This record gives sequence, structure tokens and C-alpha cells, in this order.
Amino acid sequence: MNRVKMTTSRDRQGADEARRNAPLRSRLVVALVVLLSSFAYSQTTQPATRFATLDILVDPQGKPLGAYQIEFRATRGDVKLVGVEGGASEAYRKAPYYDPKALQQSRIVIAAYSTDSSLPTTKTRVARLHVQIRGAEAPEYELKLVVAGDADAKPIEAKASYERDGED
Amino acid sequence: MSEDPHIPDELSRALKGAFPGVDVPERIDRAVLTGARAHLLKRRWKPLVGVAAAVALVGGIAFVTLRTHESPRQMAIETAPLRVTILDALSAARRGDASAADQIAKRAVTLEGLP
Repeated sequence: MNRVKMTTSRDRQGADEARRNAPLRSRLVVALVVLLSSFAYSQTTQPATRFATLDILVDPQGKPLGAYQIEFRATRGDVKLVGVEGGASEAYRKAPYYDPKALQQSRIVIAAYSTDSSLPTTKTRVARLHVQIRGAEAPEYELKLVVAGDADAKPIEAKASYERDGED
Repeated sequence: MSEDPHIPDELSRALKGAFPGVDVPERIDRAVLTGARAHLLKRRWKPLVGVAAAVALVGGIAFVTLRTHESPRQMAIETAPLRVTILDALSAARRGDASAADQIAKRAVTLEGLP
């Protein structure tokens, strides 16, 4: 009889303990849920960042390209310029002149001249821009040829364009 | 020997002799000597002030003359409009002035002043 009573008392003790721990357990579950959901939220709201390169091309239309100056800007999307590289032809292999303040912005003016004896006369890549794109919005760019000149620094009719080289 | 080292003995004697037979009180005597010293100092500084003014004048004229006769290259760079183009840089490079070409090219690409 006594033994039965003791067992019952132990059971009651266990039940009390379980009742006492119940709020703690539910709090832990709530905290875990909040933590996981905030992590998931941050994962979904973080804008994706990617990098891309843009080739800047100039076609001097048969005349020797002695110099060029181009204004380039992103008109749509969250785009920041992160680097400027030289071109393909030997005369414009070096990185063009640009304002370092343009980096981390969406607008840049690039320019270069060459006194080489062999200057490109056909469409050539004169520079390559590296950009950082954030978010899902597809970027749009605008390019304006400010001036192009021949070997004697006389203005020439030329055409400037860009090509999206690819995204990393 | 004069009381004041700045006053020559002759002047001291002359001052004393200016009032023969009169017992000039020491105070007045000192006042006269002080006045004489101030006069002497003024006489001593006056030429220096004149020389300094002349030097300043000549320096000013030289400065203005040099400013207006700066090298054509420097003048071209300084007076160039804010919006130069790379063709100006190429022209300078073709003249053999690489330094001016570099400066003009840098100015051509600056974002400042862009509409």
C-alpha cells in the first residue's frame, strides 16, 4: 500500500516538473521560429549583387583614331562602376583617363589619346568598364561620344557603342 | 660722457650749453635728452623705412611682371576653359608637352561641372 503511494507521489513530482518546464520549452520554440524566420527574411530581402564588364567600342570610320572622349552612364538599375581597363588595340592598351571619383558612381567620362604611328581605323575596343549591379532590375546604359579626333587632333566623325561582355 | 648711451657726448654738451647760466633742473634736462633721443631714433629709422618701401615697390613690380610673363604653356593651362577635351590634350602631346597633355586630359574627364 505504502509502495503504491510512493509511486504516485513520484509521478506527481514528475508531472509538476514537466508543468514547470513547459513555458520554458515553448519560449525556446518561439525564439527558434523567430530566429529562423528572420534569417529567411534576410535571405530573401538581400539584393543579389553581381559584376559585369562592358566593352566600349569606337568606330573612326576609316580615319586614324588619335583620341576619343566618351561619357557613359547607367540610366536604370543599381549600377556602380568599379574598374576601368584599357582597350584591345596597341594604341589604347593603357587604361584611359577617368576621374577616380566616378568609381562607386553610375557615371563616368573616359578619354584617351595616342601619338602612336599606327592608330586603329576600324571599329575597335578602346576600353572596358567593370560594373557592380545590385538587385534584380536589368540595367540600362547610355553612351555619348563627346569627341573623337584624328592623329592631328582634328575632330572626326566616329561612332561609339558598347557591348555587354558578360556577367560574373 | 653722456648719461644716455644713445646720445652722443657732443649733443649732450650742446644741450647743456643751450641754456648757459641757467640751472636747468635735472628733470627738464632728462626730458630734453629723451626728446633728442627720440628724434635721433627717428632719424636713424627713417632711411630704413625708405629702403623697405623701395624694396617692396621693386618686389611688387617684379612679381606683377613675372606673373604676366609666365610661360605660354602655364598660361594656356591656367586660362583654359573648364571643359577642355581630349583633343586639347592630344594637341599638347603633339607639341611635345607631355606634362600639359596629362593635365589637360585629367581636366577633360573630371566630373565637376558636368551638367
